[in-house]
Amino acid sequence: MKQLGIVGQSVKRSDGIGHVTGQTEYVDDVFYPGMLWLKMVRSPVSRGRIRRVDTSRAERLPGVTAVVTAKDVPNNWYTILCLIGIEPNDEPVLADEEVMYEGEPICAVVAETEDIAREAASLVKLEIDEQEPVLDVEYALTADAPAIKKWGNNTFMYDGMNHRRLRFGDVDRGFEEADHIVEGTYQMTPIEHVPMETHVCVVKPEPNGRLTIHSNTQALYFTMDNTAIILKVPSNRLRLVGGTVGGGFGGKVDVITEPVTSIAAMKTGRPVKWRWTREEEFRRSSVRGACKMEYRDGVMKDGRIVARKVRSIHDAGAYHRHSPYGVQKNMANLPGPYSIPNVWVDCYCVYTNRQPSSAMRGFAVTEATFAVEVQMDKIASVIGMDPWEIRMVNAYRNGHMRPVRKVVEDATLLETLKAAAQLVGHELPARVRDMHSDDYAGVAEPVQP
Amino acid sequence: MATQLATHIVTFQLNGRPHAVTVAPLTTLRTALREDLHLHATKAGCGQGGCGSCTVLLDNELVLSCLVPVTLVDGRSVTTLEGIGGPGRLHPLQEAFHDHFAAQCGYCTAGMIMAAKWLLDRNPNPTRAEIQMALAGNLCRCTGYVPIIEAIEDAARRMSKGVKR
Amino acid sequence: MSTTAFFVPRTVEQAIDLKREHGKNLVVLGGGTIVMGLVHDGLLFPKLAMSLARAGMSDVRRRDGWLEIGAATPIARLAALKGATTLERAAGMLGGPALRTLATAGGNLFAKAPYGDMCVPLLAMDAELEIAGAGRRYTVPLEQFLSRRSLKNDELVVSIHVPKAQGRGAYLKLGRRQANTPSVVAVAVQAVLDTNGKCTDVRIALGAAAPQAVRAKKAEAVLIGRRLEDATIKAAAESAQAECNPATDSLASAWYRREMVGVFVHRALDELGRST
Repeated sequence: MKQLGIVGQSVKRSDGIGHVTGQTEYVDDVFYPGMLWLKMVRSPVSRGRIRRVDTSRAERLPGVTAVVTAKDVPNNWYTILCLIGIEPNDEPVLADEEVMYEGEPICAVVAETEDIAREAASLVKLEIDEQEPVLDVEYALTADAPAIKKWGNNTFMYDGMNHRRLRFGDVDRGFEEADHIVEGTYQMTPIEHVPMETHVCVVKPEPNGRLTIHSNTQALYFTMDNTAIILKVPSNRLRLVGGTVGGGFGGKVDVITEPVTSIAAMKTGRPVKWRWTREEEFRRSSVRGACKMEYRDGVMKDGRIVARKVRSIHDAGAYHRHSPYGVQKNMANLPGPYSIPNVWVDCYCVYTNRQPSSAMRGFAVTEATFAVEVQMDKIASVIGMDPWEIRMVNAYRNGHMRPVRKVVEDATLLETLKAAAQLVGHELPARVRDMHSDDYAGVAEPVQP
Repeated sequence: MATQLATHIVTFQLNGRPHAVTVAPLTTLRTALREDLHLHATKAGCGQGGCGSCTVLLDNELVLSCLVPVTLVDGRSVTTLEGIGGPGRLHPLQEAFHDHFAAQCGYCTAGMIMAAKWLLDRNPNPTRAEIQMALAGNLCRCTGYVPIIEAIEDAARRMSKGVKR
Repeated sequence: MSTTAFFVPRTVEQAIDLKREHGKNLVVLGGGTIVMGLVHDGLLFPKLAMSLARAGMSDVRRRDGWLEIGAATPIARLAALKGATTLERAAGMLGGPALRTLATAGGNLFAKAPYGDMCVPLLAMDAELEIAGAGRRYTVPLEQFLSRRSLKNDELVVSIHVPKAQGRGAYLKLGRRQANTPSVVAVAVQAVLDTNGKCTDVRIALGAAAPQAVRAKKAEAVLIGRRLEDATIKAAAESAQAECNPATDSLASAWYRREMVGVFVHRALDELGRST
């Protein structure tokens, strides 16, 4: 066989020598002469109306050079997904009228040293009229709960509906046909990414009027777009410098440090660094949202799932960020990689007065996969079938129509399961042993919409 | 008594050479290394002593440089990752970390290698369990601990064979 | 403005003079592992700070069968003692190696639950604290100190006095990972059994089961005069579970901590019953 150059070879990381010698440059390693430090003043309450923000004591502290409030933000909307139609805008860059979660940014202080900035932040006096927070997704969906969104409820509106729907076949008929009904409710707590490197941003105003923005974002161009929109400047005024990210996992795709740091740099005319504390990273950065998924499946004695009905509730926290998009992905994946003729899914993207959730490794697909696969084990246990067999009997094949109206073209589930069974030494039941992705024998025929 | 009022000078051996920094009271060793001496291998991960990213050797003992006021380092000896080897003259631990893909994002790497060096200086032939306990204070979130432990095992083998040190 | 002075006294007397002069305005660092974390999180802004690292308080001495541990002794030194006591065991399980180099025996007395593991074996061993102020020195039982943790303006804890361990000891700690973790619960037991295996003296101490380390005195009473048999151990564990007062935090719920107090007191007594 021909010796290939790269395929099949172990290739050393191009950044490896830098990493092991400490020479790799991360954003926190960027220092400029005269660089200032920024610290954020955040809401101490989960929900309230801001009456007054008194920065006078902070401004009097020697070494403090600027304070940045909502008034300083040219377009005070954090517009992360406006480019793909996630609207209306709901999150201010800096809160001015109300706060919607504990830790929401209200104003930034900028000082000669990190110590002074930290102390100045502690001197800002906030007067906030606390309001009843909505902290539970089920409560948020009830009529008793206060509507925390300006559009009058607590959910994202998908095409005028308060949830995202998936309808395929006739689930009621499926349940009537079924030999067994298997139900299960699956929940996940919020998960924080915990990158070893917290969010860091350094912005340097250049003599030509541009801003050089060093960011450890995972999404450099996305950051440029959104920062330009918030600053109301053309994007050619911004020079984004990315580089090595000290761990991201989806936690660094929110444009959460660059706009305010840029405003501070413009206001002071000096380079500014904002490095989040570990506590901010844990408690203030976006998390993988909590999710609750309720399954009701109709199953035949031979293992075929003939109906699947799912209600999924996703805790977006206080604002959109990436959650409405994540919920859409959750919806598409709740049926699992299985051919089920009758499917009904209702997915709710619910707002609460909690830390906003956003992207994390697979958005809400991971949540769906967790729920589906635990449910598959439960079905296997209820009908007394090998858990591998139940998956292989229902596995989608090439040519099958998925409930999201996409024809499967690249199925490898059966092949993967067979290989995995071999690796762990599991003897597959005879009837599934020879199944493959282009074979429909003994299983559901390709389903047409 | 050493009363350090306002800004003062601290002198210490850093990676084998004398250095001096002028610092404000309660400035940490980590800040002095990164912001005054511009040695950036040592990272700021938490400022709480919880993650190990800022781990260095102080008089050959393992410390978290984010918790040590640099004033207390006066007259002592500090070793950072930069002090044990660099590009073109890698320490066996650095070679092994590179060979075993033990540094994915690289943010925990300096602390990991310093903790490993501290261990191998005392125990040239550690068991896997001893390596795990030596790394107990160092968190990693993307590489995974297995390649890191394997790199340290390999480095121990290389060093015991008298490969350059 | 930030910190204006950082004192590094060379004797206990100098340290006490500074305490007398500056009182509560002076933030005291043992190893700095608690104070510096608060500073970095913007929760503490010391105008004046003092380190005890050079004040001659970092020795461990044996005197008349007692162990005298200087308050600034690093936890790593305690972990390396060769007396096979629960004290060394607890020290070796506290934090990671780098933290143990810095954290001190005296500083750990001031750590709030779920930190402060060292108080657990120290309580079980009935330790005393030596406190020094301007022109006076006295000792106070650790248990009494923990109930208030109040020092006068000019006072410092200068050393910890541990009597020779009587009988058998056990120390168990449950964390969320196997090392470098605060405690879900920590349990230390020191017990003396007579020739018939009956318990004549026992102290059970619990960590992370109340705002500070506490004794489980009702559980101790269950054991006195009895052999460490299954039913007795079970009754003592249930008693400890009932009398503790744990908190919910990000590590564990109060409910779970209470359950684990029962489980770990049970395990510790089992271990003592088996050891010879």
